[in-house]
Amino acid sequence: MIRITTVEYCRFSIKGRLRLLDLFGEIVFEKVTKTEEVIVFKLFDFYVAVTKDLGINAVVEADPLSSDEVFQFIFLSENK
Amino acid sequence: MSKTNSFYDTVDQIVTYGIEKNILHLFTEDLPFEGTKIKINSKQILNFASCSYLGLEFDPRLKAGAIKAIEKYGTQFSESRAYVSVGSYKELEDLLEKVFEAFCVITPTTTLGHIANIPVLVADEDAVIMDQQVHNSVQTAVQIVKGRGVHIELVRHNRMDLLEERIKELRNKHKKIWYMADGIYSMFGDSSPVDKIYELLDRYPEFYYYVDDAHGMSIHGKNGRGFVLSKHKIHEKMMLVTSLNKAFASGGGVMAYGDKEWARKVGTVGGPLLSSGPMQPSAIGAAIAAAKIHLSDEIVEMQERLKDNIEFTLLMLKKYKLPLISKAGAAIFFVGVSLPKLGNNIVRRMLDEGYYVNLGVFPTVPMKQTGIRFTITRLHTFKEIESMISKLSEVFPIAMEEENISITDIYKAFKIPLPEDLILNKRVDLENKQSLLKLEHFMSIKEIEKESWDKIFKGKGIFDSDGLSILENGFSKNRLPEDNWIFDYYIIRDCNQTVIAATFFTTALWKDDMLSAATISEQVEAKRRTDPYYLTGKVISSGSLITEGEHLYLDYESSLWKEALQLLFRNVYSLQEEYKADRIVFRDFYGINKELDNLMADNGFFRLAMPDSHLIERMPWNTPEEFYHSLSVKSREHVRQKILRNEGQFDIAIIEGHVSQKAVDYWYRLYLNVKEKSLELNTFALPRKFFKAISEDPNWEVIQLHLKGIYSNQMPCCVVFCYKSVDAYIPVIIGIDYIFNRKFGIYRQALYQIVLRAKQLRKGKIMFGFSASIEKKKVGAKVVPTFAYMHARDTFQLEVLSSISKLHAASN
Repeated sequence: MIRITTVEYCRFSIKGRLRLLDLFGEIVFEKVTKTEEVIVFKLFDFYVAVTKDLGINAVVEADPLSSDEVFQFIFLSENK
Repeated sequence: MSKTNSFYDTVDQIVTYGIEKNILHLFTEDLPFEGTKIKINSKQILNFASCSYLGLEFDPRLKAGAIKAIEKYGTQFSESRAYVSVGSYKELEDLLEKVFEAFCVITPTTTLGHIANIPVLVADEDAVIMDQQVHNSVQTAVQIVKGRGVHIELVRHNRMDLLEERIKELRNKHKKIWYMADGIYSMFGDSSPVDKIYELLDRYPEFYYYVDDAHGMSIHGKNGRGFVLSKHKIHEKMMLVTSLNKAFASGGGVMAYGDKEWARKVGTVGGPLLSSGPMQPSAIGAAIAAAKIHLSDEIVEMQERLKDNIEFTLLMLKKYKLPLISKAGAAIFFVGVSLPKLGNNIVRRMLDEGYYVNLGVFPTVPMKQTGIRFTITRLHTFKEIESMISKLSEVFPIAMEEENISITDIYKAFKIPLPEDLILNKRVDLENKQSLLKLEHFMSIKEIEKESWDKIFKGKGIFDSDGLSILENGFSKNRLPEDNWIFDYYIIRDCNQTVIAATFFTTALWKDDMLSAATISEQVEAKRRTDPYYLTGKVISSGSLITEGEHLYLDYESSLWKEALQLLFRNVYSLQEEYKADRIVFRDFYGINKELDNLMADNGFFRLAMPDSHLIERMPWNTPEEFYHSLSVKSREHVRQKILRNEGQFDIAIIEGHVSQKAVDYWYRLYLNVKEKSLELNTFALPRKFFKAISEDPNWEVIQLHLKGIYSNQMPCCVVFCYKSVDAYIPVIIGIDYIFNRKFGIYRQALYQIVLRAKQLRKGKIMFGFSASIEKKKVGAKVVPTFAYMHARDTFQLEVLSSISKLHAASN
């Protein structure tokens, strides 16, 4: 089984990260506001939040989440 | 076969073998293709060998640029640039000057760029230091300036400490010292230590940098100006040549200069710019489109995508635990496999599975550092990369098992530590395949039963049991390192005790130019006057420097001969580690056995030609008159005119048994006379002690020739030391006083007397040894082409020799 660590993941450009998520990621959470869309992926044994700026229609971030941040997303998801 | 051809013969052997295995000289089918897929032999193949790293060759703008230029100017503009160039040439040069922020001149190819540059920029009073691995096209262009007497030398790959030492030594003798290197090296994908080179440029005013950055172009740096210029602006003492034929995807070469005057001068007088054809309209049209992309932000995105692909490839190689040799950063990857047989096996399997990867093999890398070389382009998807690497990791252990190579062997061959968490099989059970064989290893002939050794080797040379005993005594406990040899004997039997393979090895100090042309040895010997061990190295050789004949016994009738030989390879490779020997040589093969030849290549041994050997294999005559009549008409005339006419001038004596030290000393002087003249097979002189030993040994005798009458000085004018084997008479060493050699044909007379003596002793054949082909043929010897197989751990010394050889050819 192939694994990628967060450090290895961060060596990729945003487009490279999206290609990794497309190949190995699994969507676990999605949230859309007026200005942005956030999608959380599970990638191997960590989570990644992809933020799309709806104003410019482009992905501006695709960073790994810390455990606190993951908890926040899941908490928000459950209390939605 | 001429010795000087042997390099090309060796390459021919390796490439032909690859062609036969259907992994080299392939053709795509005559169908359109786009992206990463090609069709070979009706099969869709994912291509991992393209150097067009950005995949720009499929960009519609480049295609349109090429088409538009053809429509405008035709398919070519056939005039030298010294007269007229098409207008778009200027446009391209202007665009490239913006790309490089340097003065630029373009040429039809990078190789022609080097040929234009080097002879103009390097002056007679300069010195050139080439990195050992600098691209062949640079080395070729350097040959031109060698012809003018420019000092040239090689330095070990990327060794900045050694480079600085050489700069310090050469700066007082030469006006400029040019260091020639690649930006990114084409096999291992490693790079020049550019920061350190710039430091040297600033520290030493005489130091200049000449760099070929073909594999770094487009994929690195602002506007894709390449790896070297991604770190620094062009230095005023620097000259960069790069290719428009790789990631730039159009064709041609570009030369970028830190000094405007250099650009003007090369553009005006550089050979190919004066008299060769220009870059053609289609390539210029495509290049202009590519240059515009390089000057836009788009290049950043393209570089970024390729960088992601490189990063992903590294990740996959790491995850699949493949032995990656190349360094990070380039789009070239090199996975080590050690011996060529494993490389061939894997490339073939990958092709069968639908992936094309390259075999990185000798002469571009050392024999035992063969590898799977592959490239990544911007157009590959992560999925394609993963599927290729996953397949590679799947076929790797299967091929390893099939070729009896363990992962430990691979890491050892590349001198890198074995990772602890390997997935691939660490060990391959050799015992299973070779359990039917038993190997015996001895360190002295005294440990082997005489009868059993002589059953294999008696009559084949001076290496029967008695002959080897004398050699062991003669080449031990001497003062000089070259006179002390280590002996190792191997006998491999099957379960019925039948001998399948046997040989002996000697480990000794050899001159690296031993098999080079005499003209090369002359140059090397000149250096040895002050540095006696210059270009010498420890060699493990089947047989020895003094023996000749079939030293390797193989029972080709046995179904196990290949396994036996591989068992022997394994053991001799261990000896190489133990003795820290540079090379292993299996010598004296008469003719090429295709199966053996392939097995040798598979196991890291390349073939090279030795000097021809000579043999009289039958002597169906009884008297000297009958011998005379057995010769051809021409030889009879030679013997009559040059030998028989002078025979009466000589007293011939056969010396056996005890001789005085004084006589031996004189014989030794005669031997040294010959040795000094014999550069065709350039060896160290034999130790004096050995002469005393063989003179008194019952298996040896000395034919001594004295001149009679007024030409006599009471001392012999020639001595021949001959070994009396069971059926063969073997003249091994000769000594001559050359003063009257021309007048009385002393050497020819000695050959004739050898023939008569062999008959007198009722020997069936004479093994006449190497060199002096014309003279030996006149007394009835036939010429036997002879080959050796060599494995070199490190090719630096051989490359130095090869550069002397090439440069010698250029200066003539």
